[in-house]
Amino acid sequence: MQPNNLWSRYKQKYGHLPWFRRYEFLILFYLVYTVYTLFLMPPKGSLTLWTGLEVIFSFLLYIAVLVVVQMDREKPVWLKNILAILLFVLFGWLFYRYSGARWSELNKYFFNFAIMTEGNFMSTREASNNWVLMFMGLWTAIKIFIYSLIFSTFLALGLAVIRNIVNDKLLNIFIDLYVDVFRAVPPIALLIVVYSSLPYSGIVLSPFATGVLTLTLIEGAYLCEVFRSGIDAIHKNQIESARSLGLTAWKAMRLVVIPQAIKIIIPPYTNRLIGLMKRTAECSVIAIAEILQTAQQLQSWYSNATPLIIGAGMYMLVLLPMTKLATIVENRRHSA
Amino acid sequence: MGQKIDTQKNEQPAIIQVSDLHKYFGNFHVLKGLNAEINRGEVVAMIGPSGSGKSTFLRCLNRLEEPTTGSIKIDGTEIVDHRIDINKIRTEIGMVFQDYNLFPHLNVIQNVTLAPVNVRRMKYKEAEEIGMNLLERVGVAEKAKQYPSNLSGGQQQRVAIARSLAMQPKIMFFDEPTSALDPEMIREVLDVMRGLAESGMTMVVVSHELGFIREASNKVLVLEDGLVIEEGTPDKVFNHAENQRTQQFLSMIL
Repeated sequence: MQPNNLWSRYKQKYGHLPWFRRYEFLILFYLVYTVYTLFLMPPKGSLTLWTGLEVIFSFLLYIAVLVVVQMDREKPVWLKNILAILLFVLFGWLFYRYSGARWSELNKYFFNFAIMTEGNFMSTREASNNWVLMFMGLWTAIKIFIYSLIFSTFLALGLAVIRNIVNDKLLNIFIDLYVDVFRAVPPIALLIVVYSSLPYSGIVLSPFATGVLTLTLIEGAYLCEVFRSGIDAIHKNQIESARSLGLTAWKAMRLVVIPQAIKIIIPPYTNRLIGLMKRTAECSVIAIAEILQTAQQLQSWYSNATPLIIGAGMYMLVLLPMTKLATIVENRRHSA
Repeated sequence: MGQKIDTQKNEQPAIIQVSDLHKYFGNFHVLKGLNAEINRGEVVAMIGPSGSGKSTFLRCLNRLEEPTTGSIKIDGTEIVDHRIDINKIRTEIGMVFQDYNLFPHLNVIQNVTLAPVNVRRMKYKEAEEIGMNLLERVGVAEKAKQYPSNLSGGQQQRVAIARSLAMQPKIMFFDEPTSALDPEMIREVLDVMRGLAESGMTMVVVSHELGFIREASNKVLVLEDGLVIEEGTPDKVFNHAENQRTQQFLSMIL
């Protein structure tokens, strides 16, 4: 009868292995050593030769353990994953501890959320603090996004369908010209040009309308290509069999081609959607108080970049659910 | 008045009259002055070597291909004319393709009812009833709620036939309906076509199923190089062909 203690169990489990595969003691030693050097020793400020050697040694030791564990087929996957993730944690920790960065100042200039509850020169009775101002900016950005999304989708769908059905040589040249020109122009340049030149032609639009118009024109060009490629991807046979039943070209497009094309269109369409939301930031050059414009005003007022960080977070707030939604819609179409 | 025209039309025995039909693809002369006449209730089979223009001829008859010159009269109406509403003509002509061409985003009964509802402006309930009857007739009624991708080739082709029949056409075109199918599926499709022929439908069939042609057709057209080189009853064409090329072609496929 063998004694049932820790050591005998260890021998039973790993005794058959040669010494270089019995590295559990190595991990143990490593953990003790790392915890001591990195966490318990008092911080040394800047990197000296001795701490440098310590860090390098600790690192090599970790890599040795990692490699041995990853190569061992008997080790469970979760252990391998944890060790791999720990490598990144180690990197992060080392950078934080030894890079000599002034973390407290970084905090003060980039993550100073206290200033967001203050009021300033831009405050009104409705927008009494900076949070409200930023969220009003977000709402403006979303409005620009939704308007130009709807208009450009209709524009692009119309052009793509007309190009496919009417298929008139001269008309195609004009549509191609529109698509090529507006894909070649940087949105920011077009915004400035339209905003500053349109009033001379007697058309005076608000900055908001100018922004929507410009983004619609540019997005329409891209989406036209997206829709066209989706429509072209549907086999000619489908249209022929629809036409042979007596459906008109428009009905064949609406009932047969487009429902099938949507499945192909959704991924690139989502890409353009995300791009469009981010491109609303470019409307800040024509004095629309959207997210970036508001954040920049606040940044210069406080000499503090916290509003920009919050602005970046706001784009994520809108875009992450949107991408999720697009994935759900796409999966649903695939299963149907 | 409408009735008067109808009776006039019905008096003509020929439902399809083709004269001097030419078709070019660019510089390539496919149909070189075809003449043909197809009577009401006739089952016409077209055979010929590949590239002889059988499919192109069939597709010209409902203008899926635009004929270059010539005259095609369907039920007395000249269709080689851009002023006529070709969609109206096409509702009278069913067409069955080689690769079935069912709509993959719609299930079987939706495939069948799409055209009656959207072209004939039929109520969906009514169209569904007609559709279910047709599906029963072609023997795929139990698959009505399935999507085409879940059906075998033979079932898909039978659904395609039902889809064409749902428009209650006067003429049916079959463009090599069985050449993409396995032998046992060929039989089930041919059975449906045989039943259709017996019901008195005017049919134009491009096919290499000689057994079926011999049994079910009234007339065989042999096409060669864009021209009809032999025309007559199956017995005449298969057993007493006059043309040298017909004999050659038949000896190759028999």
